Amino acid sequence: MPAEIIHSGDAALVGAARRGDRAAFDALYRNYARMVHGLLLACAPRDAVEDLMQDVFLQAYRKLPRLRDDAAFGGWMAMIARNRARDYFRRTPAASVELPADLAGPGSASAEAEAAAALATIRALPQAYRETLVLRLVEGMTGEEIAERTGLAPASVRVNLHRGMKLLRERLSGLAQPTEAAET
Amino acid sequence: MTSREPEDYLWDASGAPDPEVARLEALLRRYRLAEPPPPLPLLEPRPWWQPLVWSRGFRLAAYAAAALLLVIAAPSAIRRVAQPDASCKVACLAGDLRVNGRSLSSSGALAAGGLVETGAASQAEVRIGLVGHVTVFPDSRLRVVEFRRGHYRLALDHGKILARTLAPPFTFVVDTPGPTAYDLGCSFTVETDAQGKGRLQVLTGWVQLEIDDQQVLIPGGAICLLRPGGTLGTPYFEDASPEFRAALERLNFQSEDAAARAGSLAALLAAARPRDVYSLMEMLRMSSGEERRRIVDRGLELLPAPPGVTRAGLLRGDPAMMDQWRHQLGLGEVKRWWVHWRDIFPQ
Repeated sequence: MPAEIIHSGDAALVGAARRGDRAAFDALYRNYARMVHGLLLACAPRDAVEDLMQDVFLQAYRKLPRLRDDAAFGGWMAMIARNRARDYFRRTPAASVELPADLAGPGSASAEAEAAAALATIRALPQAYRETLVLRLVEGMTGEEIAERTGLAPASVRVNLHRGMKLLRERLSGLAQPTEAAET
Repeated sequence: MTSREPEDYLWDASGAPDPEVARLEALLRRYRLAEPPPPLPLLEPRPWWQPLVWSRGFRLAAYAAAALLLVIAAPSAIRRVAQPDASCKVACLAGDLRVNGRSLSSSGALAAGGLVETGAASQAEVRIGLVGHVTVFPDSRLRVVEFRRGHYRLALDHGKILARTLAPPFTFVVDTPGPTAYDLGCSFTVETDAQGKGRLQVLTGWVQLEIDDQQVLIPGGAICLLRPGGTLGTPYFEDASPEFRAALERLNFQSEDAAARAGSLAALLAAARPRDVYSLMEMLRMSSGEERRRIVDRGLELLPAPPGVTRAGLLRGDPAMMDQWRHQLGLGEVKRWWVHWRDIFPQ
């Protein structure tokens, strides 16, 4: 399902939310929830992602008056999400157990196990690749949406998608290659 | 079949699906955020001023105000640092006061070289810039030797003064006909006759007395006798026993033969209390040989040394060990002069 693109109005929404307009912040939440969810899912445990997502938006609401450039809202949200995920692991190191990538391979009888293995494989990729691939393959965002929401250049997103997908194919087929440098 | 490459599907899901990408999409869709996303918890309204505080306008206004303050305050601050503080003032509290040889019934300014003389029934107060006050008691003669920022030096030719100060150590100095008193941030009285006989009593804080190459530190609650002849007394606490005081005065200022001196020392050590170990420590400055051993041994009986401090170290006057032993008395740090800020106010 394509994401609701109202980025041209995001700056106005950010301005209104900064002035305390709750409806404007709700709209920002709807527009950016998938991006934040995807960034968190790219590294945090699945069962913690929804709680973390709410934390991220609460933090954003409190810190919004400090955001200097309304147009940078997406990149700012992404930064808060990454920091929150990092915080989560710092505070709860025991929760950082990841599923092994070889838990189940393609053709496994259980689709659930196969999905978990695919997600674990993606999460084992370099950060820029795993974030982009989760946003594309899990959240269903297009490359353009990913660029608009995260504040990355479209060319960087394209490179990360293609290189990440190439690496993912190799890993899934058991032909993992040395890590390439990611475009950030 | 379209002309698009399979990679286009990866970019925007358009064109012919890449089978692997499509398979992964279908597989991973289960982890996608539900639509609509779960509602946010109720957000508490932000304080009305918060957006204002972080607004660019507010920051600019704050920077401008700070710059303006700097522009206004800097010349004044530079003047205060560069120029002498001219706020040395004297006020007559009672009786007939003479300032620079002239009678003064109210108040006036004083400068370096100024002279304050009180009569039998008069009393004055000298304000030392922002450093504090000096009360001049009857029958006193006080001169202003130096008066500039950071250097305030008075000379008490005779009489009695009470100084209450709040200043870094060695900012305020009082000369007497004998030793010189360096204020280390405290309140103290100095009383002397024209020959230099008198006493210095520290009420709070610390004072350092110096004459020639001798120095002694006097803590709050202690007294040091002043005597002509270039010898510093040993400080003792005001509640020390008369026997202790008398023995100390004999040891400090009388030329006794060896037997008499040993007797005085025995009397001193017998009358000493744990608190008096401070005086014993100061006695070590002028003691040697058997006398030194007796003082250290009695001191250790009254005030055990902390771990790491040895009798041998104390006997050879190891400065670090002496310091650690002295800390056992709990007299406080000389450098923490600012904790006595209340003492600047009249009691």
